[in-house]
Parts: sequence; C-alpha cells; structure tokens
Amino acid sequence: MMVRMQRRFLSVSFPLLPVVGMLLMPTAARAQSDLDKALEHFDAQTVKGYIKPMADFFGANMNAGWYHSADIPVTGLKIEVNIIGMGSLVGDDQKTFTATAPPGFSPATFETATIFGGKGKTIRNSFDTSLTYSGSDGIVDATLFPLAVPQLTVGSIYGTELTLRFVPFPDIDAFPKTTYFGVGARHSISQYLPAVPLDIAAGVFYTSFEVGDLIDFKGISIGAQASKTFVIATLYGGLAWENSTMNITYVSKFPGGGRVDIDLDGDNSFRFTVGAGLSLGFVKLFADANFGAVTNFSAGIGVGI
Amino acid sequence: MLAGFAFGGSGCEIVEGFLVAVNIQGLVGQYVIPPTGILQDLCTEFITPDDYLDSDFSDEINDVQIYDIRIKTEGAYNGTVSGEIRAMRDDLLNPQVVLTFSGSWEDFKTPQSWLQARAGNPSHISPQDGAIAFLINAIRERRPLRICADISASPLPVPAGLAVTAEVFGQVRVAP
Repeated sequence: MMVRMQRRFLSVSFPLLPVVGMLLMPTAARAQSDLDKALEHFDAQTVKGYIKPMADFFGANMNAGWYHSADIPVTGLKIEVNIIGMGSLVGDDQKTFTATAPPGFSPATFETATIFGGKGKTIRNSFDTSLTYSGSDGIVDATLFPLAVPQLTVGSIYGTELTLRFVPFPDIDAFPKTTYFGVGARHSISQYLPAVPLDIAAGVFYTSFEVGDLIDFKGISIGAQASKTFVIATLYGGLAWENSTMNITYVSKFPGGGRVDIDLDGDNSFRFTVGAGLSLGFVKLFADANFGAVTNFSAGIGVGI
Repeated sequence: MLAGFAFGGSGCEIVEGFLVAVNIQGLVGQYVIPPTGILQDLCTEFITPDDYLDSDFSDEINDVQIYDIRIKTEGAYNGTVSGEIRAMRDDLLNPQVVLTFSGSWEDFKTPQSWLQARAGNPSHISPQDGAIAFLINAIRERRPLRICADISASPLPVPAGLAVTAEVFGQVRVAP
C-alpha cells in the first residue's frame, strides 16, 4: 500500500494568503511532510485523537471573520476587499488525548500527546515490564492556531450582500492541489425594524477546503449580527450556530491498518462574537473575539466603499 | 493581530526534533511444515534494518518498544504442534530463545500472544526471560536478525499447506 507522500496536510494550518503563505512555506512544507509520515503509522483510533484538536481549530477559524458590522445598505454599491486573520486558542486539554494500547496490553488506555502536545507517553505493561508501547510526540507548538484568507464582499440588493473567499493553489512539486472556497450571504433585518437603534443582520456562510486527496473540510455557520456605529468606530457582535467536519483519508502502515477514512466533527457548535472596528475613509480595521467550545479571535484590514 | 499572525506572532511553530512512534514491520518468520511433521533449526534469511525499519525516517533510533510476540497456525490439521522460536543476531554466535509453544493446531488459529501469556490468561506459549531485551538491543543497534524455529506436528500424515508464523510487534521512536 502506498501512501501519497506528496499529499501535504499541514498546509491547512497555515495562511492561504500567498504573501503570508510564502513567509511560512519553508516551515509548512517540512511540517506537512513530517505529519504525513507520522499519520501513516497511526490506526484510525489513534489518528482521531491525535488530529481532533486541529479539526476543532480549523472549524473555529473557518467560521470566523465573516463580518465586522451589521450595517447593510438596502440599496447602493458596496464593494470591500479584506484580508482576515484568525486564530484559535490552544488549551491544555487539547494537548493530550486518551489512546488505546494494543489488544491485551495493560493498561488498556493511556494519555499521550496530540498534534499540539509535548512528548508522547511511553507505558509499560503491568504484567511484563519489558513490554512497552509509545505514543508519538506533538508536532506543532502553538498558543494560537492561525489562518488568514482574502475576502471579497459585494452588495447591496434589497439589503443583501454576498461574501466570497477563494484561494486556489495548483499542484506544485511537493504540494498537492489545494482549494479554499467560502461563500456567504447576509441580509439586513434592521431595514424592517427602523425603530430599533441598532443595525441587525442575519447570514449564512459555507466553507470548503480541500488538500489533495488527504483532507476535505466543510464548515457552515448560521447566525445573527448586531452593530452600532459611532462616527468612525463600530461595535459589533453576533450569535451563530456552526458545524464543521474534517475528513481525513490515508493508508495506514499500522499492523492491520489498511485504508483509513474518518470524519472529525469540530467541537464548536455555537459562538458568541464581540468586536470593534474603525472606518478610516476607504480603509477598514476590525478585530473580534469569539467564544464557544473553542475561543477564537479574528482581525482584518480592508478597503472598500 | 493580523501582522502578528503573518510574522509568527501567533506563536505557532513546528517542534524541532519531535519523534514519531514508527511500527516495526517484517520481523516475521513463516515456517511451512514438511510431510515429516518435523522442522529443525529452520531460520529466515537475515532480516535487515532496511526490512524492519521504515526508510522514511531517520537512521537514529531514540528508543525501541516491543509490545507483543504472536504465534499462529495456518491450514487445516487435526493434530498438535509444539516448538521453539529463537532469534539470532548477525554478530553473535548464540541465539536467544524467544518462546516455546505447545497445543492443538486449532489452538493457534487464533494468534497466541506473549501479552496474554504474561497476563496469566490461558495460553499455549511460554515466554522466555531475556528475549525482549535481546530483541530491543538488536534493533537499537540496527543489527540484522534471523528468526529460527524448531517445530513438531503430530500425528502423521501431516497435510500439505500447513504453516506456523511467528511475528514480533514493536515500535521505534525516530525523527522524520
């Protein structure tokens, strides 16, 4: 069984924006190759625990940064281009997982490092201490798991705007074809509630991220937003339900492993957002914090009308 | 914050020198039972580090773990089987007895495990002290190994197509 060594997984963990990507690509390239090699030696049960935090953080990042105001004009031209950066806080509980030891081993389970953890744990068999079993070390040392994307927003028709994220990377050398695509739509609710002193909107956002044949990520977020503008400053917030799933497919070299095809659901199912922005003519700056199962931050800079 | 992300301010970096627990593969001896039912001192060819270690990883072995050794039979036979499995290094004259085994042929259709034997479960294998340390040292020193066997099956006639397989399960901790 051959593993497609050219598949690079960890590209998903680094910004897709070309400039930022180039800054980090030397590290990313090595990390992706190393993670491929590590995954090959995991069975499905182990990879689920080892990689799960990355699915959680990706889900949280992908569903972040879609808006920084609830003010959507009923009519008129709106075009805005943004660069959005996101980051998810890596907590201690995401650095270890409960792994399963081989059949008959005692103890049957043990705590060891996830991809964000430290050293992998080595355990000794209770009945024969010459027998030992080990988990792999973590690969990523992070306090904040980042991502950055470009974003285009156009509107408004009947108080509705459309937002797009799209970054294609062709298959080049060691990097597989990678495609990041996101689309969202928001509609002004406050146009129906003129007496309410806030801008209110509702929106739905969908994200797809594919890295060769190894990773396939899908995410969706549905929520409501509110904001208030004070001259050049805007305070905004929102509530959203979200769902994300990361599918990983590879061939395992673990004894009896075979083909592994698993779905990992991100832990974040709900988020509360609070943020602030500045409008300096055509230039927009904004940042927010998002609270759910994963604590997440986003910030951006944009130009537009 | 965006500038921080762009220039590594997120504190996200790849750990230098991280180790992966890589499975040892290919430390296997398969022995076809001859019509006589007796097999004496039959050894595999030398199994080299290139065979049992993954070449995608560094040659420097940081640690070796052996977590099980299993014996199983293949083929249909209504008799008994017994024997001894030994390991030999290329640089040492004396082999190390790994385990002895005895039972009905059917008993070994389900692989008999060193782990189960040591746990006190009913088992048809007898692990030998010192064997695990011998194997660990050999692998750590990247020595070619042979797996040898003495096997006896009875009664006669012994049908064709019978085989006994001994396999070592372990890991090495290595850098990519």
